[in-house]
Amino acid sequence: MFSKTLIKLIDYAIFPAVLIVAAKIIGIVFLTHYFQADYAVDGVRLSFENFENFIAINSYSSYFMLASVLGGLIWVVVKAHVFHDTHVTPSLSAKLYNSNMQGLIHNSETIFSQAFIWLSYAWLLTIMFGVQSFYALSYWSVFWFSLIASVVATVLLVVDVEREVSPKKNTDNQVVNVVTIDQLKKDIVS
Amino acid sequence: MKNKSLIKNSVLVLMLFGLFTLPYLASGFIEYDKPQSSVLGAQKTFTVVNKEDSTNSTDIDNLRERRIDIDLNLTKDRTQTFYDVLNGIQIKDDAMITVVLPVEYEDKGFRVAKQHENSRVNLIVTTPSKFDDTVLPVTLLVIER
Repeated sequence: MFSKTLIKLIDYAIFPAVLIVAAKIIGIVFLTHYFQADYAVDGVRLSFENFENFIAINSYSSYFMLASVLGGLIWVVVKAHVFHDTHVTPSLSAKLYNSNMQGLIHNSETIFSQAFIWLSYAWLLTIMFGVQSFYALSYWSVFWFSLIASVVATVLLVVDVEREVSPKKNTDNQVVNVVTIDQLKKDIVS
Repeated sequence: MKNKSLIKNSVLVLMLFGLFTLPYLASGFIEYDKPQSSVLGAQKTFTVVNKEDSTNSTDIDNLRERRIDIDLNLTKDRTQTFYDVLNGIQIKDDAMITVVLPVEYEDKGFRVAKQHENSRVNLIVTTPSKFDDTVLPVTLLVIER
């Protein structure tokens, strides 16, 4: 029996992988033309004879990769904090249902799975940029920028997980009622 | 049954791992093709200095090698020509002159080309777009009989 969680994770991991690779390729092609760098095609690789050009193209194309991951992370963080079905605001939920955009609201399983995938890519890229910078194959700025973005995204998502695990309490130590999407649907229908 | 499930899920984990390594593979689309030799303008005959590689040792024994170190004072121009760099040094007409540039300068993007003008030797330096160096150390290997 295949694990449903693993299948879901693989499903969610395909799009980011393709996006990151595409971002790198587009970045390399664009930057090679931008810097007017001389190169030779070696199989599927571009070989640069000028080390300065190689470093610049490798670093800036890494920023393209990072931007694609950041795009995904921002979307997941927004979903976790705004469109999470356990704490979506009633007014926003009503608006979304009125606009027939209720598909934006996701449950915890979907959000946490996607968060795991995007965060994994972010941290793997950070490690990769760190290694490249250490061996002087790219600028250190790429690594630092990636590290800061990964840390911030991790903290924001952990905050959402914590909110999920331990619901907010009021001054009387009473658990505040969490409006679920099913309750909301009933409210709207009634 | 349990083993079968374990194998199936292991395959899924490997697939997930494969997807995570894709971005790393994307970095392999570009590479730095380091020049095979840091000797600029070197001709194949330069290797005759290495006696082990030669079959005609009699000729090699007659060769004399001289090393001349020159510091070139750089300006901010992208292309700079240094005229008659061997002025005052006696060199035979059939001497073979090879320009050697330290690899760290070559990696920065500096290039040096040799130009013969009658009996004079000029050096044409091409600099990278950005550099802080004011002096470029160059070595001329003069091989003559």
